[in-house]
Amino acid sequence: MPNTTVLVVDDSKVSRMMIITIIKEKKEHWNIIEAGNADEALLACEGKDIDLCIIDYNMPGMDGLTLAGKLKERYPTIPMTLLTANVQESSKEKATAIGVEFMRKPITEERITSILNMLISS
Amino acid sequence: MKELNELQIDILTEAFNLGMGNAAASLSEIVRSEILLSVPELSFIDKATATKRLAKKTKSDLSGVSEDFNGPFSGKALLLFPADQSLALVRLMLQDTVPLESLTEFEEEALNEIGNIILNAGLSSLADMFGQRIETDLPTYTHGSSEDIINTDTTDEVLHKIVLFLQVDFTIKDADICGYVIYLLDVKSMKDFTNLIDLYLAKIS
Amino acid sequence: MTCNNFNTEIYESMIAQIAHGIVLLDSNMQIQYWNRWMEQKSGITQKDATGKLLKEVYPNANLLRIDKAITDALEKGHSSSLSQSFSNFNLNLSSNAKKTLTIIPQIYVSPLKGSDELCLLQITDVTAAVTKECMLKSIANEAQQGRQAAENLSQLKSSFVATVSHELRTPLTSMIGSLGLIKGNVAGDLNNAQAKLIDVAHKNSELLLNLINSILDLEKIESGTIEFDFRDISITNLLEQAASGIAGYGEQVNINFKLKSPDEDLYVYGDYEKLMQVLNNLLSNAAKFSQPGQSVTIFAQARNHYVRIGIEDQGQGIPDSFKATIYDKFTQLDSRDNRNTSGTGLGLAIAKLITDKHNGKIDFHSVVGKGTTFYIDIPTSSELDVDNSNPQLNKHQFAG
Repeated sequence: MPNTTVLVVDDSKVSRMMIITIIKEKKEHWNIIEAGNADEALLACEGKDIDLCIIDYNMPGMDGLTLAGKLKERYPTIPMTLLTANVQESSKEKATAIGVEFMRKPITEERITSILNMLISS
Repeated sequence: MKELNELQIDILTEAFNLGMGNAAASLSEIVRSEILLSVPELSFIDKATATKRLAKKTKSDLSGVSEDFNGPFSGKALLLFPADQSLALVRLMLQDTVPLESLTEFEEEALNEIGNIILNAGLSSLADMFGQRIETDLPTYTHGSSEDIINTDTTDEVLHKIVLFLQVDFTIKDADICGYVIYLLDVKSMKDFTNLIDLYLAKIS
Repeated sequence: MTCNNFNTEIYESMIAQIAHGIVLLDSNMQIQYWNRWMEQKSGITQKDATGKLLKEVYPNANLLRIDKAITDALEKGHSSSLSQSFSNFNLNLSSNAKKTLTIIPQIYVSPLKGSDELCLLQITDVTAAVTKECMLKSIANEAQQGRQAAENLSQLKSSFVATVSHELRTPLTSMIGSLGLIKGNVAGDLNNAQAKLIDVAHKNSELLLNLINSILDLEKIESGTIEFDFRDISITNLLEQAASGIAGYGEQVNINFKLKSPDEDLYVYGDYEKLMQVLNNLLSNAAKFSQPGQSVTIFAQARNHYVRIGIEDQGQGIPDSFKATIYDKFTQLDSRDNRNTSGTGLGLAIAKLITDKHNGKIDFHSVVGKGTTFYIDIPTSSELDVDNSNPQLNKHQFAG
């Protein structure tokens, strides 16, 4: 079976670093594609198989929610999670509407692990 | 004055975005409508540059809130808007449409509260990141030119020389409002501050 | 007694007398101090309050934000400012024993300095301020509605005037046309009697049309629907055009229009056509109130940041009784030989409006029997105002 691939999108380099570090600790052999903004992300995963997306909600340019929507079109069945510090009902609803999960920031080992488990169990 | 490097700015911006996110969540609970807050720009500059930058962004006076804080680094935190924007913000939050031309006493208290939530959230986020306690005093309403506000009560020239300057974008009920969060730090605090950032970076790598 | 020998009793007494609510909570959020103001406004004694949580003392209050603020103070050392604008606390605080006048509170929460474990609440009564401001707001609201109503009315009037003027002008123009043709013998030769009558009818129709046009003009300028085309204008040019324009009329009525050209090139910031309209009006007025053979002089003077254009006649002058209402609409002075039958009475009203729009001024000197000089002051640049009390003008003076 080809390697599991995770797409990590966040405009903060340090945040990406943290997420990737945690993933690598739990699942050494998984593939990671990282991007600093929505456009980069769409380009980077073109023609590739992705199994999980972890996306920062609040990014300049196209925001995380819009990006998730676009990615859902390409990969309708894979789990996706939006990361945000700003947990409001309205944002949650928007995410649920397109079948995307919601996770609070700050980035912690627990939170990232539970996202990974989402993929493993599906 | 040593500049911050890219990684340090990255982590600070992320910390503040986190803080602003929390503040936005609190504020949106209050007004029962979506509020978005983000920090697109962050920089360390001296007081003179900060004064000039603010004066350039708006010709009118500034209104806002100031709070003293102390902890591993100390200083004064300020949330500032061009006067008409602060008016607009408070009216939006209070769902008020009466066309009075300046903030009433009542609205000043409301701005105080909004500012308190935002400034506390920013400092809280830094405190969490550094694993330290940062205490804040009660907020006070402030108004005047950028010159007046930034070169305030400090009689000692050495204190409060460095400014951590953040631009904050608010979106509330389809209106976009732009404000500025400023942390006035003294030189010693600046050093402590950068040390703390580096400690944190070391911890997560 | 000085502050050096204050004992605890004095401090306690002081705090007890403070005209605001003071509450201290410990790290378990239990009340450890409840000052006299709190006792009076809540009806709960310090003894009963001590050791209890706020929600035990106030089971029906909305304490969500207050509790969060207390937690922030105790755990993080943060201070918070809470107003009723953003939370309805519903604390049972009242300004009288019968509890009929509820207090609107402003609540400050902060960690007590010098202690890791105590949280200070300060409660202020802001009812009066809030009530006052609600009143202010409703007054402002009413004023705004009044303004809006006035504006709506003004707009209604403008469109009414425009419509009516148009409706009046159309038939008038036909009348003037037809009468003109008859006068010119196009429909057959007229005898003397007929010619005289037709002439009267024609002249009056033209007068009526002038009147309607002036009313419309005035209305448009007043309501701001007319566009002013401001640019730098050469005074020499303007005056020469005015003088040559009125020369023909001057010959007709035997008035000598003289132009005293300014020594230097002067410029003003204005609308050429509108200024010409004003000058023409002033010139024809000057002629109307002069005797045949007299002169009317047009001149210009450079002043501090503006130019004064004057029109001087040697005619009958303006009596004091008329001076106050001279710019009013439809006021007309009778000229000595009743030559003032062709005016609308609106000329000066329009002239004043136009000069006002230029940030300028119109005024006159007059001595009955000797003559009148009318003058308009027009600023030389767009940022100025001839009114000396205008701070902008002073700013420019200092800028050199």
